[in-house]
Amino acid sequence: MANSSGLGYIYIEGSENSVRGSSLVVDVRGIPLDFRYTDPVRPTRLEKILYGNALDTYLREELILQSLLDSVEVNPALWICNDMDILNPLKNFGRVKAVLIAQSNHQPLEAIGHVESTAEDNVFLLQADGVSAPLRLIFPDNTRSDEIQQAAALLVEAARTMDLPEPFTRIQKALSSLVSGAEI
Amino acid sequence: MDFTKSFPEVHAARGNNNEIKIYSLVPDIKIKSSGLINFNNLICNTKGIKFQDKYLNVHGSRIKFYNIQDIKISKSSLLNFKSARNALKIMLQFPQERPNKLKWQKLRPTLAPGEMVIAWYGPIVDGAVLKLVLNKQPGTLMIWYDARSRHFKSKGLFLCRRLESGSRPEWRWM
Repeated sequence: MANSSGLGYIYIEGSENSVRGSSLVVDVRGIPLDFRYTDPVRPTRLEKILYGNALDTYLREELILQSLLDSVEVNPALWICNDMDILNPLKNFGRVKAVLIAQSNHQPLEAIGHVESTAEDNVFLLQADGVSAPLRLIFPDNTRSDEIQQAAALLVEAARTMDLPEPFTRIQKALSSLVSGAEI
Repeated sequence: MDFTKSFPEVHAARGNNNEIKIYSLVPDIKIKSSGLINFNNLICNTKGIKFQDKYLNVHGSRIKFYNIQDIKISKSSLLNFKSARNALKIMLQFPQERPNKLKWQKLRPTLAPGEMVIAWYGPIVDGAVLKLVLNKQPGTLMIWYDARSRHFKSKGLFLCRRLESGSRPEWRWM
């Protein structure tokens, strides 16, 4: 597995009827280095009954997430997700730092690179660039403060040349095109 | 089944010797065993009871437990020559999209009299750009990059317009 200073994005979508996921590793410009996607997993009615409430967790965390992470050949410096449910498993399986990013409506912070803690556990605000509201960062449980600073530094560095949340939009468009069979 | 009922006679509760005699008022019920199943004819072990499987319909199917290797992962990596085409086909056909962030951008280009700034898009690595397209409806800028480019320096792109009829919007890197 090649080392990379790029960012890895994990996106899992669907309901209990069909779940699928995708990973996209990009360089600091947002240019794709590695793209993976799973076929949709459609559990049968019997499997839904037998797995019960554990089905969704099993599909997302163990099956799809682990499959994607195992198949990625370009290891990013930081995994990024937008789903709280997979944040902790992402750190456990991903072998590198993980963070959930979301846009906020917060007023800009003092300076680019400034990290501000919030009243919520593991939740921080990061002023990643000078042309956006601060990003809301959520880290997995037991993330050390030095890991938080390292992740913030990576995000600030990448934000100089790319729009940090943007790859999620591209992944969704790619998955949509795969469903419609437009291009594979 | 044959039930035979016999009711006892009613006696005085107090006898001559001041003794108390108790009689049951519940009728005696005698059950003749000949009316019930003759247990002597029933073999009470599992060997003696056999269901004909031709009368039983069995429903269900084998429970499929997914293994990791059962899930097909469509592999494509720019580092893998064989699959590079797939990755390029899928992901590079989708441009990066930048919203108009003029309200956040404090810098302004030098404007000639009668000019105004309409939008600002960034960051954009101008040396790696293959194509830029303004998506007028949402007001976003779509960017296609050359994946082989080694340029990493980013800039911002202003969209300016002269306030006179017939003038065309003008792009300015900054």
